[in-house]
Amino acid sequence: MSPSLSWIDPGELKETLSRIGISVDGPPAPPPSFRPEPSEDQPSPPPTPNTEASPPPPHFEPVISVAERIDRFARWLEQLTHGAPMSIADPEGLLIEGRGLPEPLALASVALDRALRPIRGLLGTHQVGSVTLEIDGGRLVQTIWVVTPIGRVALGIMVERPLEPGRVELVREGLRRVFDW
Amino acid sequence: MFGLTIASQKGGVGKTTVALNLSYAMARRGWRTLLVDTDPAGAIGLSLTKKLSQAPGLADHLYQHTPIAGLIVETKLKGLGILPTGKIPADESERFTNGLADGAVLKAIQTAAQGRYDVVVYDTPSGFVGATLGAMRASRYVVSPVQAEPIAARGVMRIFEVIGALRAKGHPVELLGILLTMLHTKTQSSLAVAEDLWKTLPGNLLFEATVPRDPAFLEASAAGVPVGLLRRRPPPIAMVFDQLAAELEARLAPDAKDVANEPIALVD
Ligand SMILES: Nc1ncnc2c1ncn2[C@@H]1O[C@H](COP(=O)(O)OP(=O)(O)OP(=O)(O)O)[C@@H](O)[C@H]1O
Ligand SMILES: [Mg+2]
Repeated sequence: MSPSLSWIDPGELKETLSRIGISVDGPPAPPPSFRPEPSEDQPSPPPTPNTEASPPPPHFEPVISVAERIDRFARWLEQLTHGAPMSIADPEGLLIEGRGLPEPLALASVALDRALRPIRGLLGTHQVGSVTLEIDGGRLVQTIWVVTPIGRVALGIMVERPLEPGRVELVREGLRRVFDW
Repeated sequence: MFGLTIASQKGGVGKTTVALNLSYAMARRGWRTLLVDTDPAGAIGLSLTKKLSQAPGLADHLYQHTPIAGLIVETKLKGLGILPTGKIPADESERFTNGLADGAVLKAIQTAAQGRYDVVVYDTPSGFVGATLGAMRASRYVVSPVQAEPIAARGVMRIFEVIGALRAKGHPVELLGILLTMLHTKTQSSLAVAEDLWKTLPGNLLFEATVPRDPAFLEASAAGVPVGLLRRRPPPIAMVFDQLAAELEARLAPDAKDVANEPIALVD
């Protein structure tokens, strides 16, 4: 994790907010990690190099099936996007998950990926990371790609407003973790 | 009727830009909005017209007790009024902001505007001093713009401290949200700051709307208009303030929302 640019200390923030009586919804939760569940309280403990205490005993990660990983990711995404319909396509363009996103839209998000190939070539980059397509009635389908160990995976979500860059990054991180084992 | 202060510790982060464009967006949504310039530099006047920057205003009320009603400048958008700073000699800035510090004069504007306006928006000088504290004391809500760059982000905690201190003294002011401004997604450090705040701050303290860095603001200030009036087809950036106004509205307490629910006359 990169160091905090804002220098905000989560503990101090929490303490300050509770002292002045500001109630807190909580930040968008970080994407689920498929590592062992953190023991509690701390949402995502920073990887502090622990020099004094002896190293923790080796922990054998429980094997979680891909289906289970996707399910956890989908539930997390649902919270982040307030239940936006979504689909996930594998590197072959086959749908591996669909929740509420009408199939034609899910397939459109795959077709978009194909259509972008020449554009990626033109730009000389594989980093065309997301595209927002306006359908009708103010509906947008936002397609976010992420390169995972199994190849490029595409997430399509239907939203009223595109997710902000920060959330897109969070989503990407979550999706990457799904296929990272 | 409620007061809404736009305030930040750091200068040049876009407070005046937000105050002006948000007021315009709120008025378009049907909130009768009075924009009050408490910056002795007269930032709102400078953003609009020479005439407005030379018009009598808050200073005349403060020193000569000129009634507020006669100092309000109606704009061409029905329901949007502006109370300019008024002429302040350069060496009087401190006296002017100190005169506003206890919040009494700024609160009295709300009383004077009762029935004509639903919201009083205060643009403030930077830093939590004089007029800014006065505006916060007179307001129910605060919106704090934070420029999407590292130094501004490092000062974010300050607003919580100030609000806490005011509340401890019995002022029921609430932070409606922190607003990221001048976000430049193509600059790594600007985006990194935004991501940092998105990850660190609770969702209810950070507006989803962000104000991108956009040359349209320079154009708009050169033309002396809110971005929404830059041309017949406003630049897309103007929509950010419509989004912000909608989001802001959703965050208001139910009783604050009620005020604007009276019928709005189509003709007088
Ligand atoms: N989103 C933006 N994109 C580009 N330029 C902007 C943006 N917002 C504001 N500006 C420009 O930056 C300058 C400072 O903005 P502004 O006056 O609104 O800041 P401020 O916080 O009110 O400053 P001060 O602390 O002096 O009162 C102005 O020239 C304004 O036109
Ligand atoms: Mg200003």
